[in-house]
Formats: sequence, structure tokens, C-alpha cells
Amino acid sequence: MKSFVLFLPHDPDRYNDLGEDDFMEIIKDYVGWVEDQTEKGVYKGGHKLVDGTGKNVTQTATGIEVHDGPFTELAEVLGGLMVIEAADYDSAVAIAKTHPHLKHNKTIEIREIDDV
Amino acid sequence: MTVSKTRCAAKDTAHLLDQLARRERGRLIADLVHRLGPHRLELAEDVVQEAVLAAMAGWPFGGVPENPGAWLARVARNKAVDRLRREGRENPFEDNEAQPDAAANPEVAEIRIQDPELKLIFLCCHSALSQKDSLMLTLKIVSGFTARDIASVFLVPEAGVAQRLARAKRKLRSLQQDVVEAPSRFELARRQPAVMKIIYLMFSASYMPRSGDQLILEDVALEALRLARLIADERETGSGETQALAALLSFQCSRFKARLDKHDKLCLLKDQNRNLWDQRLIQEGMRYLVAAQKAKVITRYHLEAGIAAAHATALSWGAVNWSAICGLYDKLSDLTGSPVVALNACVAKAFAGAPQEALRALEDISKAGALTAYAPLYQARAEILLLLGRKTEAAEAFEQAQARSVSAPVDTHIKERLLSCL
Repeated sequence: MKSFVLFLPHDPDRYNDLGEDDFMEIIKDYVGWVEDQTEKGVYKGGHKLVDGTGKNVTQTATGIEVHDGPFTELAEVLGGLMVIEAADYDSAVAIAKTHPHLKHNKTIEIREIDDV
Repeated sequence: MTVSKTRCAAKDTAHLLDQLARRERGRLIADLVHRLGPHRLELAEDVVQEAVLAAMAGWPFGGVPENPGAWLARVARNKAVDRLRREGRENPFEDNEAQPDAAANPEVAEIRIQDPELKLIFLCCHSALSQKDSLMLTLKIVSGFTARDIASVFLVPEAGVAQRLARAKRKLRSLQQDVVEAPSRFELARRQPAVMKIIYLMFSASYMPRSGDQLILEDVALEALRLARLIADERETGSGETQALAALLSFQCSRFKARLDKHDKLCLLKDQNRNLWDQRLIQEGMRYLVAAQKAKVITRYHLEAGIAAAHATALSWGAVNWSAICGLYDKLSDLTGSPVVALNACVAKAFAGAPQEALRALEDISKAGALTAYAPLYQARAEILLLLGRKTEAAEAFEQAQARSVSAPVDTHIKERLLSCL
């Protein structure tokens, strides 16, 4: 079994004006999916990232610079990440295709964790 | 990166999250209002709302925590403290706790309602509000239902519910603070019948099977039972009347699982699988009913609980003590003067072996005209006619009922009864 990270980006304004009921419906979909996948032994964990911008720390010729970022003007910000187990990329993709993130947002980026 | 163990199938998760959000929201708002005062009702609502949503936003990733209530409480507290600090108040909780409920006013100081939720119910059932406003406000604030849930219970548009709630809250805010904050014992006693009526209406709203979401309706019924227990068990409000109400709702809730069959079709008392009745609730109802006998005055809740008890304790449809039920219905009819109660009394009379007499009484009710648009009037007439073997007339009556029915389950049921006449 290999481990894969699912990166879940969303439109920065995606959740801003959502009513409580609509927000709850989305949460229910996600929690339901996670519980399903946990039962199957697929879901291994995850983290929600704090909304808003983080920090970029960059080495430049004059020293280390710190900037806020990524910026919310971007088309998408990373909302969170999840780790799943799958035999290979094909099955990881198949699992990701059932993810409610694709119903409520657009993209999931899948990367295999290098366990070597 | 840990995932909590899940104890339930994923398909139940959505409903559990709803229940959790409602339950915790009501409790947290009550707690904040208790500490900060009723004038902070809206702040409490906002902060709790924010906290619940913020907490839940993390659950898809880490799973629902082992003790979600405690987690939500912590988040809500922190948000409230943040908000109040931003308003320039340091240690908002501490200085409020130092100042007990109403030390200044000796009359008020006597009041012993300690339960924050109960206090909140009395606030929502303030006499300045209409019954329907109070009912919706209680469902929203005390019971944590969303405007969408409430709209689905009353079959009205969601926007209308939201407006109504906003108006009710504005009205509460416009009242003199001391009226809202520290009702006198007299005012509490005055408000108690209204509070009971609200709980009763809350249950009735959930009990009529309609096209609404069955899960939400059942949650509303159980919530009404919970509030009835709360008020019956509290020393200051516990009385024969409140115990009778708790008894009534215990009996009625005991049958909830048996009311609809597998295909969501309405199942009459007569045809219900009595094994599905919740014996624990029936026993609890009996306990409340016994306690309620100490009351000086017999209220409609006593009589209705008595009728419900007669049904709940009958081992089969054939074993129902109809003459006892008839006697209770007659008293109830005298007490309330309600044509709906009179109609129920007729049906009981028919089952008690006097269908002819029942039909005559029913004609009187029909002539009075108040129930012309009420489908159960025609259903009752049809059932009594069937007992008398007058099938053609019964079929006509079922058709009249059908023309006035509102809900899908009831409609299906009438259709089936109609077929049995042919």
C-alpha cells in the first residue's frame, strides 16, 4: 500500500457568504465521506488549514525575506489536506473521484508520499 | 494526524451532526445568556453560530472528536470572550459571575430557576410575543433548529421564518430590560401556561404526518418531550400540570416509531405494531401521570394524558378500555369546548359500542360548521358509517375527506380506506 496526499484547494471566497444550512450540508458530505473511507481503512488523517493567508519565507541575495502569502487574489487557496492509502495512482484517483470536494469545489491535487 | 473512531454508519452521520449542532447550540446559547444576560441574546446566538460552524469546518479532516460537546463549548466560550474583549470588556465572564442573578430585588431573589435552558424558554415565551412567534423562537434558540428546519415543519417559506424570528427578537430587545432579565415570580407564573402551550404546540406540529422531513419532525417531537421534562422536573415549575404535560408527551412519543410503516404510510393506532412502542417512555409517562394526580386542578393535559395512557397500556386494540376513554373525552370536550375534541369524543363513542349515538353527535358537529374544511371530520364520519355497515355513504365521506387532505401519507391512507368500502 502506498500513501497519497490529497490537496484540497478552493476559491478564496467560496465559503464567505454561505448560509449556515448550506455550509452544514457541505460539512455533512465531507464528514460522511471521511467516515466511509475510514471504515474502509483508506483514510489515514488530514488537516484543515487556517483560512486566510500564511507566510512565505524566501532566501534572497540580501537575506531572508518574509512575506504574507499565498495571496487571496489567487484563483484558489489551499483549504486542507488529507492522506489516504491506495495500491497505486489509479486507485488513488478512483477514490479521489468519489470525494465530495469535487462536488463542492473544482480540483483535487494528488501526490504520492515517498516512503522509500 | 489522528482520526477518531467512528461508531456509526456514515449514512447516519448527517443526522447525528444535525442533532449535535442543535443540541449543543441550544445549550451553549442558554449558558451564555445565563451568564451575560438576556440583552446579550443576539451576541450569544452569533457567537455560538460562529463557533459551531468553525468547529465543524475542521471535522471533515480530523473526524468528529470523542467529546464534541466539550469541544464546541470551548470554541464558543473563546469566541464570546474575544468578542466581548473587543468591546472593551475584560474578563466578561468573571465579573458577571460575581454578580448573582438578582441580589437587589428581594422578590426576584426568591426565584430559583437555575437551569439556563429553562430560563431561556421563559424568555422566548414572553407574553409580548404571539404564540407562533414564541414557538418558532423556542425552536430556533432553545432547540437549535435552523430557519430551514422550522420552515419544513410549518410548511412555510424559509425567508418568512427568518423575518419572523428577526421581528420577534427585535420585540424582545425593545422591552424594558428588567422585564426580560428578571421576571418576578408573578410574571413567571403568568407565563407558565404559555410556555406549556408552546411545548404542546411544538409537539402537535411534529405529530401530524405531513410531507415534511420525517427525521426533523421526530426530532421536534423529542425536543418537545425534553422541554416538557425539563419544566416538570424543575422545582420552581414542577406542578401537577407540568407533570401531566410531560406524561402526555411521553405516551405520545412512545408510539413515534410505529406511526409510519416501512413505506412511510400512516399506520393507525389500531394497526400499529405494539412491540414497536417504547416501553421505557410509557413507564416514564405513568410515573409522571401518577405524580400529576397531586394537582388541585384537573387540566386538559391531565385528561389527554389519561386518554393516551389508556391507549398506551392496552395490550391490544381489542383490549382498549373505550368507556374510560369516552368518559375522559367528554370531560375534555366540556373543558375545552373545542370541536376537534368533540370529534375525537365521537370516534371514541363509536368504538365504545355506540356508533349510532356517535353518528348523531357527529352530525351536530358538522352542522355547527367550524370543521367544514377539516379532513378528519369526514374520515371520522366514514369510519363510523363503516362500523354501521353503511359502505356507500362511508365511501362518499372518504371522498369528501380526500378533497380536503393536505399530506401525502394521509392522502394515501384515505385512498386505501376508500378502496375497502367498495
